[in-house]
Amino acid sequence: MRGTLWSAARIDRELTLLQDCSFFKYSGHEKYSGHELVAGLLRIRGTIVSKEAETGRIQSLRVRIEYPRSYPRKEPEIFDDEKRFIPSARGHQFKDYRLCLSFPERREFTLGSETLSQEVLKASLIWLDKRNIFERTTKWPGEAEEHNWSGPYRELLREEVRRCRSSSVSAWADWVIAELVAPNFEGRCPCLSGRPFLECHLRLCSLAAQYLLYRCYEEELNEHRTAIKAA
Amino acid sequence: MQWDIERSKERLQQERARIEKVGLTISRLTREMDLSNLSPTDARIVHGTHLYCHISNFGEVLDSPLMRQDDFKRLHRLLHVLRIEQRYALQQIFGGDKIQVQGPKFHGLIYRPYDDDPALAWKAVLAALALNLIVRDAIPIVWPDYPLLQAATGIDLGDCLVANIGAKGNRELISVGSAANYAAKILEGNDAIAVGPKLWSNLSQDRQELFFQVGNSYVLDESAIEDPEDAIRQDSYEWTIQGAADRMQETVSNLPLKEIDSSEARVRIDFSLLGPKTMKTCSGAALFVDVDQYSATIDALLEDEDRLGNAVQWLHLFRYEMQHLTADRDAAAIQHQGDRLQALSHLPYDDDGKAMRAAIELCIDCNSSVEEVLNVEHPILGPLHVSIGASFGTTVAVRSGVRGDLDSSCLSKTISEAEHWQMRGTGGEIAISLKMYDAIEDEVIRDQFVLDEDKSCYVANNLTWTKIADIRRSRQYTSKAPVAFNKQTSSIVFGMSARGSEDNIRLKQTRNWGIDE
Repeated sequence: MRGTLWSAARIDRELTLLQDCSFFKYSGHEKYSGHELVAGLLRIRGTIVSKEAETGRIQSLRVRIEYPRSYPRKEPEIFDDEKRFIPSARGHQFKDYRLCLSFPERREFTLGSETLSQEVLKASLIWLDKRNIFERTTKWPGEAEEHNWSGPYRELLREEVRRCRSSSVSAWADWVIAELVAPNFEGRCPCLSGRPFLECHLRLCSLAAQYLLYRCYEEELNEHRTAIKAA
Repeated sequence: MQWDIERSKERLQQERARIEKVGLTISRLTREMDLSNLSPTDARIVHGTHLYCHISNFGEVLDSPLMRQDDFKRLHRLLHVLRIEQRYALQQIFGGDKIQVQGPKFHGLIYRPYDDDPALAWKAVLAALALNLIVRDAIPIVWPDYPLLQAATGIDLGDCLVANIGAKGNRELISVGSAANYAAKILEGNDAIAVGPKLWSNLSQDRQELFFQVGNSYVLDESAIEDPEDAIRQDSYEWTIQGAADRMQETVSNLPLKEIDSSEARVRIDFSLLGPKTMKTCSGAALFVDVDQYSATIDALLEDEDRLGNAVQWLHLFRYEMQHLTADRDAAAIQHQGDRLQALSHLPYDDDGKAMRAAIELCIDCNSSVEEVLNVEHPILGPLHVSIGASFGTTVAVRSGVRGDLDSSCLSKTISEAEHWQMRGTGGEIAISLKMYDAIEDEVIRDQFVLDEDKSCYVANNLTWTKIADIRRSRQYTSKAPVAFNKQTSSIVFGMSARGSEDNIRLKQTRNWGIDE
């Protein structure tokens, strides 16, 4: 068995970092302690608390922070520990009560940073505020990704195309998205630089591939579901 | 003070615990009891006739140049004298009780004789005749040069709940039930005596023939009664117009106009300091907050004393909360009229725009407390909603009646307007005047109001502070405004307030994702 990644000193340091976020109250629960090591992986429990400025309403949620083995190269996951909200895609929560804070490929958190858990916790505070609004209005406030895999990849691809500022890349991307044509990784880059695609605009290439992969997968899945329903 | 859901929750929780500990006894009013000295822990189910006597041309009276002179002192004195006389007639001549004076309306209740509805019904008609004659014929004897007053009286027979509840030191006798509501409703648009079908059906046939039907009510054909005074005397009630005029004259001589002090209110009006000789004027918003369907709920529960107790408990909590909300906004609660609150928001005295905005905020406070605290934390009767009407204008604040039982009122045209919108509104509606709408500076609040052309007012539906806050925060999130957590207030702040401050922890808004698994 691998030795634990979390020494007592490291846990203390992590707890100190989290307590810098004054909206997070580190606390145990009648069944669990405030933190525990499960198979060498750290779990921290506490409550996110804030007050709505206009109504004085206190909004709080008991959360569980689960650190991955590869932390801080991968962000920790935050769970609705009291299972208060009903998981749903529109409510941005997975079936295992994990908060869906961000599309992984978007890389919104500073991976590798020492304060990564703080960053994730701050995003959780906003998630809680938005979720409470969603519970009352049934509309998720602010920007959100599409509720599938291909949609966010398509959006990222378009953002990457905008960054390229090349009309030929833009035309190429439109063609790929509309016709579902697999990019030729061996060929020349669509930016017309003359260089191989993989050496020139690697991210563009990878995003297009991911988009097509998931798009095809989702279409197949839909067909399969329709067939089951019809049967 | 801004509305705070946690503060409302806490105080209502404490008050509920207190009243549950004290307990409440509900019993039917019997021969051995009366309504005097009704303790705060007792409520009575009273079978009787409700009378609302209204000065139907009150709007014109308010416009009369003579009445307007000296800050409406004449009008104040007239109403004071009239109320004393109406009370006297009802109590001393007909053995009834005054429930409340609501501005130009006098609300009375006659419940004797017991178990004899035909006698009770006719007695109420005679009492209504006397009340109308005081307004119409006795007043001109005392003040021949004053504008003539028109009287309209609505009467209905039925059960209602009478209780003496309210915040400590501010208890009022209230009656709730559809008989009282119906009596108030049928007098509108009349200059006569209108009775409800239940009362009419209890009259003997020859007396029924004195009435003609108008919609769902029956209006007394006064021309069919040759001498109303004589009709009253025939039933051995010793009452005359001249006698009423003489008593009023005596009251007037004890209250010369020069002894009445009138001044502009610069701080919140304390109604307990007003009286026959002290009145205040101000520019303010009159507010009516009425619980929709509460009377119907009471009617349905009259046979179920446990649930009726719960209903009284809820009403007490409602009144308690409304009282606090008005105080929080530095407004004055004028009167609780059954399941309705009448309030006056008139500060700051030197800035009408601010005063109107404060009144609108108070309307939202009231709706928020009912929808988000009472309905959520104390759903004793299931969800109940309030209908609110508010209008702004010059108002006279007075307190009149007999010593020891003075009624607070406000006199102005805007009050009738606010009351009219409230009465025609449904639960969850806030209706405000066009002038008040124009004073709104906040875009989010303004967007919630829609012009109701039929009623000539602006109406918002289900407007609460949470709804406003949700819209505001959703807009901030959509606009990707900077966002931070403020350590001092423990709240999420946006825009300029979220920028560099030691008290702020900057937050980052992520694009949330989700997947149908």
